[in-house]
Amino acid sequence: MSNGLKEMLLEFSKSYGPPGREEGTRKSIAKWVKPYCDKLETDRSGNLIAVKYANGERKGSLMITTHMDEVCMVVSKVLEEGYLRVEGIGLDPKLLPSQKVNIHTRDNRVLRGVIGMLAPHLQTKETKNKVSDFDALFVDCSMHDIKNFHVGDFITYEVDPLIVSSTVFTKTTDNRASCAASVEALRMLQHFRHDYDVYAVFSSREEVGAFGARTAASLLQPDAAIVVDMTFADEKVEGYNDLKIGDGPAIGKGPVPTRKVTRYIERIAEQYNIKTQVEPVPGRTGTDADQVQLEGIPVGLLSIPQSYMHNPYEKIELNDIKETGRLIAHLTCELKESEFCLGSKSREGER
Amino acid sequence: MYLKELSEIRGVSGNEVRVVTFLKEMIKELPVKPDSIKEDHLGNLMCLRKGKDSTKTAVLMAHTDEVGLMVTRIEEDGRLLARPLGGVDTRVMLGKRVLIGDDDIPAVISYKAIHNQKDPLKSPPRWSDIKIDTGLGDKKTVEKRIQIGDTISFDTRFEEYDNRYVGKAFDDRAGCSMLLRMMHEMEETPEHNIVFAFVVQEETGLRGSGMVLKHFHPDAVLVIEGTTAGDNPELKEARWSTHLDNGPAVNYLQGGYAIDRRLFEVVLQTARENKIPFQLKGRTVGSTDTSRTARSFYGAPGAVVNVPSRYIHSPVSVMSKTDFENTYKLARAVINNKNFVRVSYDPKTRGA
Repeated sequence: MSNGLKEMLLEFSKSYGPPGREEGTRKSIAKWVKPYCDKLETDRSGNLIAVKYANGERKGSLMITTHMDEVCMVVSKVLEEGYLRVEGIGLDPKLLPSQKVNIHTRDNRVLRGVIGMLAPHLQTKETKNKVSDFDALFVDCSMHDIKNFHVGDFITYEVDPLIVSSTVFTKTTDNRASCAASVEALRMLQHFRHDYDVYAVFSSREEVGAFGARTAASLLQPDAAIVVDMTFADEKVEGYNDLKIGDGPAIGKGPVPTRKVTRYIERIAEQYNIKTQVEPVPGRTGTDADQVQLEGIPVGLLSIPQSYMHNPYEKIELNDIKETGRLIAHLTCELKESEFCLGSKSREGER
Repeated sequence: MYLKELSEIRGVSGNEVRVVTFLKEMIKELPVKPDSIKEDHLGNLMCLRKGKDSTKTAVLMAHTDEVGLMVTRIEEDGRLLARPLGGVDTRVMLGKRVLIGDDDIPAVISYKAIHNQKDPLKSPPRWSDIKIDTGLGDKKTVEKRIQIGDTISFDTRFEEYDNRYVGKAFDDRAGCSMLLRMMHEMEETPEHNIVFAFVVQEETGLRGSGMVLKHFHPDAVLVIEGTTAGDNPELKEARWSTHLDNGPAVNYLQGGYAIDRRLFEVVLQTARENKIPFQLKGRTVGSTDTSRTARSFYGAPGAVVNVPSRYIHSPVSVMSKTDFENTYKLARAVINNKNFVRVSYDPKTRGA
């Protein structure tokens, strides 16, 4: 089974899905989630929504949101000599020099590009101490006819995933690891009774402002939502607690996640012996949760620990994904009307 | 010939064994074997083909090493710190896969998330900021597989396109590949002695090539190199070193050596006579093994032909296939040219 999880993650990671162009990722997720859901649809924002209806007495609905888009570059200028100028979406320009990249052309081909940098021999004292930003970076695409390329083509990292037992280094585990956890939860729910419909939303455009999650929440009007995203682990963030890869999902605490939901998550995790960590988020979370909250829906935030976020090789632990999936499944099964005073009848009164 | 294999083989300066082993295997398969094969303590591999005139000897040289890193520290959490072997810029290392030590332990060079950096564009990373993650576990676990002093090389797959090669270590496996091919295609006895010299440790200060002069007493040395291009949007055209697709680049002055004028003219004349396009290297930065051979023992004059290569000394460089072919043709014509080993101040041999 954990083998299946690894394959799923690697396939999600490889799939093509920049913000607003998630078609590749949508297709890949649809393939994996289909056996475990009753209905599968794509809304007009590009969200993929997998619905698994309550198999007990239906009391309401729970939305699980995991964004499926990825950080990337976009071609901003085509230079006749065989180079492209680019803009970044969520990328650290420091990671780009000497990187092999994939250019996704208008006619749906994937062509090689190389982000070049002057050899040390040709550097000067001034250029040596400079970090190239997107004004200076360029993609060498001279291995192909320049006519293949257009402004607006998207560019993603070319990687060769490294797997060391259950540790995986690859691109876009932010947030395809969470997508995998969500599918894993639906898979487990095949064997459990649950009174709430589950909307597993694989949301669009998180990296450019989480618009997908907002429109999905608005469309579905669930009684509660759990957002799953990634957080920084094994990486010192000054003034914050240390999170660790392999120690399970982190429960987000702050003004955005609804307190009652956060407490519910903590209780269920303890009940089922799921190791969790705490991630304090004083302010905006930078995840889909920010938008779901604005829709007025009780929301909880789970973060899978990850190192080197937005690097070509992000590091994660398969067991953290599995445990996150297990937690989501139990959160779904244990949910009762009394929990957040929700359910369609009680909801208006509560507010 | 075997450019893919030679590009992908690991051989950081001081640890060129695998490259040399591969070359020796290939040399065994040659249709015409060298008259003698020599290896020395440094790791240089030298193959002699005797000529009709055995009083004259030309050396054709390429270096087997490539730039890389060396493990210098293992942190408690198991991550490694490293320092460069040869000229490597920290800025090309981030977010790449590498291979470590004799067991080829794969690892990833990581950098903390952009979200957690105070001023991401302020300054380039320092070597002490760059952590190499094997994913094996903590220091104790890692120490069972990796030792301080292990070499680290880039892990880049070779790729071929219509008119481009993409890969690592073209500086100077491109040269090694050409030497091998020339040995393969040289069925007839050459006019003069030719020594095919695969030398070590060019990248750490031209430390291997001098020895070739101790073993042979060449009249001239021709080095084949993969050299800098710089013909990309970072530099104005006037500051380019070479330009891809303009043919082999010929050096006239370089770090540590002014190319022998007589040999320089022989190279240009040979190119013209054989209608091989060429360019003069536009910059004098960098050095080649001729800087060493010219000052080793009693010295030998040298010349250099280069295949232009973008982004060398990084995990991925780009070469033109036509340049590669033309560099090979030029080097072959020069090394077989009688005038190359008969340099004198006679103006007749000075060319156009």
